[in-house]
Amino acid sequence: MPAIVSDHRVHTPSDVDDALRFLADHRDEGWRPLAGGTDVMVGIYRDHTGGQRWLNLSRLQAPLAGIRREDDLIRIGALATMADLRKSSLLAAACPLIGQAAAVVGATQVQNRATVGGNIVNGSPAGDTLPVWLALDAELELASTRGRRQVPYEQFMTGYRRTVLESDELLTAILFRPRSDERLRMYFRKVAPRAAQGISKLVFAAIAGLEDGYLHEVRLAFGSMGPTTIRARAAEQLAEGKPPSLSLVEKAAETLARDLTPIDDHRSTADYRHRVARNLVREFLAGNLGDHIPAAR
Amino acid sequence: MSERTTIRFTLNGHAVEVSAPPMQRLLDVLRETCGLTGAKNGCGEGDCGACTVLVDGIAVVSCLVPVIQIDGAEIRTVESLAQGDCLHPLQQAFLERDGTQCGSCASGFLMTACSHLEHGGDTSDAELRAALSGVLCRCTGYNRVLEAVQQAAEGAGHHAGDRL
Ligand SMILES: Cc1cc2nc3c(=O)[nH]c(=O)nc-3n(C[C@@H](O)[C@@H](O)[C@H](O)COP(=O)(O)OP(=O)(O)OC[C@H]3O[C@@H](n4cnc5c(N)ncnc54)[C@H](O)[C@@H]3O)c2cc1C
Ligand code: FES
Ligand code: FES
Repeated sequence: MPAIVSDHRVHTPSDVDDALRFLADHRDEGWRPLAGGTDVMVGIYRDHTGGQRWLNLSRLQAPLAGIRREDDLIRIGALATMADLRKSSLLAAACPLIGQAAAVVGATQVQNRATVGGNIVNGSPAGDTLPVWLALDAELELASTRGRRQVPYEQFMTGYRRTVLESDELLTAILFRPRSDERLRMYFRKVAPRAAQGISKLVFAAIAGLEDGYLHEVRLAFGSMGPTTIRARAAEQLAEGKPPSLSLVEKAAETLARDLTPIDDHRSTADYRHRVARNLVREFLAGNLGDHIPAAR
Repeated sequence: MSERTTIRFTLNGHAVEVSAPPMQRLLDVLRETCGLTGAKNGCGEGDCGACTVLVDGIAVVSCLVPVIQIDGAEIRTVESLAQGDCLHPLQQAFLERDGTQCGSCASGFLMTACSHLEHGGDTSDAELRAALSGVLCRCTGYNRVLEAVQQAAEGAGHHAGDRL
């Protein structure tokens, strides 16, 4: 056993109020939530970090792991696991992209532990569920003893692994408007070296309405194409209100570079990422045309 | 500062109590404190599946589970499968179909497959491959593993979960 594990401390609250009070009372002592532990444990054992303090959320499953309808919104508790998301028929009907994304997070043994809240707060730009929240205009519910606030997912990540979450706050839920209209088109694609357990070179989630042949509310969301999950706003605006013609599709694809800022790293190159992003946007927007759009070479 | 916690859980049907640092890996508690070495220490990062055990019937990689989180849980390891000299249908099928060679992945496959079948999981090639994709094997090429699991599921009847 590496010596470092013996100096970690853990507190296990028995309900949400208790957890929030503990975080408030010990605000500057560095306590951090521990959910499924899949990121936390890799961090501790790979990087040999010692002396950390963990607020263990494992007894808060009853209040924080449910997936349910709340008025006209869907509410996903932060402790819901990837397996829960994958198997939820409510989510499959409300937005199939969520289950598709959860199914490509690691393999089953990881999906059984990894929580959606952990994926979001961990804040890796490669987190596979993240572009889906962006494409859905999802809101995050953050709770502390000061009260609850709702933050659009788009404003949650402020930089590479940086978020607006305060040290006395817990992420408690994700809220979004269900999208079951058949005139909507949705798309999810993870591009990784192999089918299971690969970390994304890039990940793409997209939603658009198609009314009388015109695109509207176009959302093109990417992971691993910049320091945070990112929307390709210029391409979205270009496509808004237009029919998905071949020339539009081409122009939108060429406009992506205005928003996407991928880098060269050990997983891929900026050039490859740009190229694949263009092809994915082509495939998404042109999906209904039936014509073959030649891929960029 | 060294911090230890008392953790109580059920291990292969027996109540146990261990004293361990709360963030110690379940894998280390099983192997070193409880003396059950069936779960293997492969990558230690959740990638290889060699350390798979069942927590309340659900397959997890025990190298990523802090022991504090299994307080009160029911843990099953590969050591729970055989009843005395009588092998579990999955173990029997792995033997008959050469589902294992060097053996370092075997307990990971057995426990992952056990949980999948107990939950009534689909045994088509595609579904099984997806269910077992979290266990890496350098020897078998996976086909024999797949065949073994399918044989075990068939032997146990249509509703595999009933008898396994
Ligand atoms: C082998 C392996 C493969 C993986 N493959 C993928 C993959 O393909 N795609 C992918 O996206 N991810 C992948 N991951 C990472 C994925 O498992 C995590 O991002 C997971 O979703 C994090 O959830 P957790 O519950 O394990 O979080 P933890 O590890 O418990 O926590 C992660 C972070 O979030 C914080 N946190 C957790 N919950 C809350 C909350 N409710 N409120 C406030 N803060 C909180 C913690 O303090 C910590 O900083 C993989 C991990 C492993 C080990
Ligand atoms: S040792 Fe746990 S997954 Fe490899
Ligand atoms: S039998 Fe050797 S790794 Fe699978």
